Amino acid sequence: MSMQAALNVRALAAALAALVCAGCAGAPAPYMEVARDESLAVIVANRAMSLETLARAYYGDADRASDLARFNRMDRVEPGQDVVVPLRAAATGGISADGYQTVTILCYHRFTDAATSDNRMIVTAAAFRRQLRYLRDHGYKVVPLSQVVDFLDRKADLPDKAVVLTIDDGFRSVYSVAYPILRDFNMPATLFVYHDFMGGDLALTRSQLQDLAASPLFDLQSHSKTHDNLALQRQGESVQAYRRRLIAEVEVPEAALKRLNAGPQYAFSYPYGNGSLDLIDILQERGYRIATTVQRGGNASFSHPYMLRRTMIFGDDDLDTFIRRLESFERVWRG
Amino acid sequence: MRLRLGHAAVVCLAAAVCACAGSAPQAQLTQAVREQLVEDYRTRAADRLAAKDWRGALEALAVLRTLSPNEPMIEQQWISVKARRDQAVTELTAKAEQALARGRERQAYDLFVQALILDPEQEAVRAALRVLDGRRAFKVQARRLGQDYNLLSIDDLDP
Repeated sequence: MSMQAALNVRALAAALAALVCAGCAGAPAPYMEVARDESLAVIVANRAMSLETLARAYYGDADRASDLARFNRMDRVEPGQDVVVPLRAAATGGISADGYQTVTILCYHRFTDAATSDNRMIVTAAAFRRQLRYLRDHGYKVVPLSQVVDFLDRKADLPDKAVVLTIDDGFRSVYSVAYPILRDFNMPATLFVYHDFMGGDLALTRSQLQDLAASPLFDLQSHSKTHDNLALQRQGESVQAYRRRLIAEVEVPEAALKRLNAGPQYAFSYPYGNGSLDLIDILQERGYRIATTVQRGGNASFSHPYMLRRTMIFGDDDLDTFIRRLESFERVWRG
Repeated sequence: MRLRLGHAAVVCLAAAVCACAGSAPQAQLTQAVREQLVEDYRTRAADRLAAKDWRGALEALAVLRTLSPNEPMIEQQWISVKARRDQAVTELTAKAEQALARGRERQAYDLFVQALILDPEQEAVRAALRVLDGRRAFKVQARRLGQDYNLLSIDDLDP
């Protein structure tokens, strides 16, 4: 402690003693604002408090506590601790001094109520519930896929440990098994449906699709018309014919989803996770903002929006494997 | 950002006093705490500068600008550190482009990331990273599909 600080302590202690003697009583406010301009406020905590308290006071939104946590590199506020509150709503894209945020987009396919499954594309209800419980209990925030668009555009930051749930194809078990569990946890998911599968025995029925389209928890997006590998031009297929085929792979499911009132179409899931430059071109022309592969890993705010990584979750993944798949921050060592 | 123990004591006492006292003592105490913070952030900025951590130094100086607005010394230091930070970004970007020219995409990616960490507002760096990220994804896909993927020029992948 410097000489000046020591003197200040003594002076303030004397002031305090005088006031206490004068019979003053009452709990101090949780913090005091020491300085403020148009870009920052500097506060000092009078007692231990949560960052949510500050976020509510300054932003009117307790959920923005993660902005404060990231900016100040702290989880909670101790008495006497200073906190800097950024007042300009500039998104950082999750870039901090020691690395950058990544968002994991998880990819499921089918579910079952049975205790086990010998098909690794099928996740049991019990495993799915365990995974969502883990996310909830360990500070992960499941966010809608649409928020990833804003993250990539730097229009809004994502909460720390943001995770997105997606489900491909449109199996009926999405409705009978996954949907009730998602409702229990109040977690949103994006369902990528492929057009030609609809109406099949294992597929979601029209009324189930309508139910999901109307649910605030579900976001219905396209997974192509046929589920062909769209990265490959067929043997003997002309460039023009290939392009026409790709356009149909985008337009047909899009029209069907519109008929279901599925909301804005902004995301496309490549069958088998394989993209192509021609397809990206078509998606861009039609106003799609993002497209997803099945390459494992997290996505930074500077990831390519039409080649986003997605991490497949399999029926034989145990919880430890699931946990290892969650990537929310990439540390960068300064050279 | 944590105050040193002595500062914390100042603050706690000030808080208790502020809760009870009228506006004049409160203003004095706020001033006392502000002065402590100025001292603390000056030290922090100096430490960061010594470590050539331009971003960290700018963060500390930004707080100093709020705590002591219009102080010429702080403004001067702010401008000087910003120039050094911009110079470091330019150097890293140039190195990244050299690495790219030699076909070392991973190295280029890491250098661009370091540049972006120094200055997250660098949209050109962000765009370069996007392109490299897309190329990496297509390379992985091509390997998986056993394709000779006729790898794409950077401009082809500019979103």
